Amino acid sequence: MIHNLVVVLFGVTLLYISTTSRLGAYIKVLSVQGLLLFLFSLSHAGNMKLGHTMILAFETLVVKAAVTPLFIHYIIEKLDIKRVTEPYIDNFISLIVATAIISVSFVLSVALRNAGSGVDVLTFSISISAVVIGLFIVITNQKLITHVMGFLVLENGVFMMSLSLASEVPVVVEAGVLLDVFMGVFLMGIFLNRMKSTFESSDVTLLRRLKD
Amino acid sequence: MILSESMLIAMPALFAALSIGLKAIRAVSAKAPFFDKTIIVAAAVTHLVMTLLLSYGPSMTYGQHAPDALIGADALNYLFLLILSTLFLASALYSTVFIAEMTVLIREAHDEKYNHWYVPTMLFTLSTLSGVILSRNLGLMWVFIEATTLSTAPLILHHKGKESLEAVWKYLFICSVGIALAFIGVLAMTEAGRSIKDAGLNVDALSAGAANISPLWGGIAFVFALVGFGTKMGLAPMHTWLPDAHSQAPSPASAMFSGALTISAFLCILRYYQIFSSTPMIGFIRQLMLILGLVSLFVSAVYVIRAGNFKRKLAYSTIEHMGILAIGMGLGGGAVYAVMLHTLCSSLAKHSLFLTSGNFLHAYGTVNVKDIRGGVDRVPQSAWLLVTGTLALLGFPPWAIFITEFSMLRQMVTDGRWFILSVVALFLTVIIYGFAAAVMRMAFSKGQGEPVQKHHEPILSTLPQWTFIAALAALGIHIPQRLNTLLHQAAAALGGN
Repeated sequence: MIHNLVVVLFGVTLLYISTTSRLGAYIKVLSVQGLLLFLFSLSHAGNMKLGHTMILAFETLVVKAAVTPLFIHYIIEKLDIKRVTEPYIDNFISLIVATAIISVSFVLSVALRNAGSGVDVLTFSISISAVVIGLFIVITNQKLITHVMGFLVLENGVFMMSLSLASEVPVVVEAGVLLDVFMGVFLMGIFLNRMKSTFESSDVTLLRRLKD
Repeated sequence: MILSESMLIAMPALFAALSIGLKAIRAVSAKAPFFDKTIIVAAAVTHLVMTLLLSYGPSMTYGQHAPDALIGADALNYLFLLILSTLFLASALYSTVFIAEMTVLIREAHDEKYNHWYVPTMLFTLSTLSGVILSRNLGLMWVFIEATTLSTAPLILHHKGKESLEAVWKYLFICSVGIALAFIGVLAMTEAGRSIKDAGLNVDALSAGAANISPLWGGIAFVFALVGFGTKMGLAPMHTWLPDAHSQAPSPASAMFSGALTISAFLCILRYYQIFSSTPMIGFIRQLMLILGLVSLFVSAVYVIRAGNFKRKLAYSTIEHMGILAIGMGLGGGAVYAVMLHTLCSSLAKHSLFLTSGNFLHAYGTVNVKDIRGGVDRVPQSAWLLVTGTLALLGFPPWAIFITEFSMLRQMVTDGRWFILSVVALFLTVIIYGFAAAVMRMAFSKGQGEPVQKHHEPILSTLPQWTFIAALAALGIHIPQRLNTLLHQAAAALGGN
């Protein structure tokens, strides 16, 4: 029951992140997603040894829910990045798209289950939706920092899927945690290179020097 | 033998650590370029010797592994390991010239600093690529692919300009999304392998029990693996990072990107292909690879003409060859042997052209096609290398790429795939024109009347390329028995003949 509630709440954060265009709200959503993933990993902890559970608890509670959002907040303050995401499309349209993504994921998951794959429809469809919505955030936003946050949403989706599909082989789940290394590199890259000042603002529209 | 195979991964990393450690000593730090040159060549020679010993040792019967072996060589990955090792030796020899040029540059312009990270990152790249190639476990392979992405990134940043930063950002971001998707492929494979007892993610166990894999999860796994690793391999439409990264990295590094990095991602896709090669699913998999291959050829044909920078042209030619490899796997049957040979030959050809482009960059200060004239007068050796290398790469006889491309076209004829044949022929013609026109202009057009200054060409800046081009010509005439057996065994593992 708790398990399903957590997944549904995770789905709600996906819808919320599509309607907002404030960077602060994005950060809060990432933090909440980290907490929800912590609860989610606890509900799978029965299959695992204590060591694995502790690694996953650290990953979700410390890295995903606390350190990353705080660091992004610090970067935005320090580099004085404008507080709106500046998407290419209207919030309303992105909400419609997010809803469509979630519904299509549900349809696909139900089809998968009916084909005899034994998949947990709710978890699978929400995690696939998180992956696609993360990609969608990356595609429809201009700012590099928003790209990183879109990547984090994608990564959270992958993490949820790895728990639901492979929780009895915790090594695979922990391998997926390595994706966070990229996140770290991106944030350090933005911070150390002051990507805002290098490209005038940290805006992908200025990443246009290399082209054919 | 598992020990020596893991040494192939550990040894370059140890040399890299040595290169970093030595610089901490003040007396050595002043002579860093000399030590770096020694270390990179020593590591490359050791790697090649160890690779060759693998095949001459008792493990000549590749493929005998414990069912849960994490790493180990078989015919398929031994071929890729051999390519990696050979290419790295060429890059290492060329790097000695590159490092020497870097030190001259520092003496002339005092604001330049010696790049202490060049040699260690090249060696880490060698280590992680060996890891990708030798993995027998899909999960471990994925971890190594992520490691290659991180270890190659500093090489793209070498010039430290705005363009480099942009290129490295695109490279890391696009590849990391690809790698995240490939991870979903790994997850789906865990789910698919559930029906096989104790299979885990081991390639041998999965291919042995492939008949029991649920086609649904298997299909999902392959699609995500193809998109994810295809990003790293440079298949269109996920290729957008490739021309930027290849043009920004220094030539010996971009040669490694084009020759070794792309094909090791290709090997990851081949591992999934191998698992399903004896199941009915292979038809679906071949269709997918054909489509991506044709799209890659199309993108390459459009952009190889438009790109003004020679290294970018070469990068689009890399995409072309990746497309050809995917199409060959899509055809299956006799084309698989051709794909194996093509992997070897196109890597050698691309590698020598990327190294040669470094000579032009040094002599002219640019690789823009319109700014380079009269190559045969100014840098005669490099200009002739450029011309012969181009002919070899574009598939003219007697070089071996002619044979591989011809046998793929022949396979299309025997299978009656006339539509694919005509489309491929059309795209290849456009690419040959676009590429050859630029090269002829760079090599043979006359300068604007200013006196021609001959530019010094150190022997190591041309020797690796001449060797590769000679080897390609030799392979076009006769393939040694030993290599032929290896190619056939590799093709057989993939269900070809």
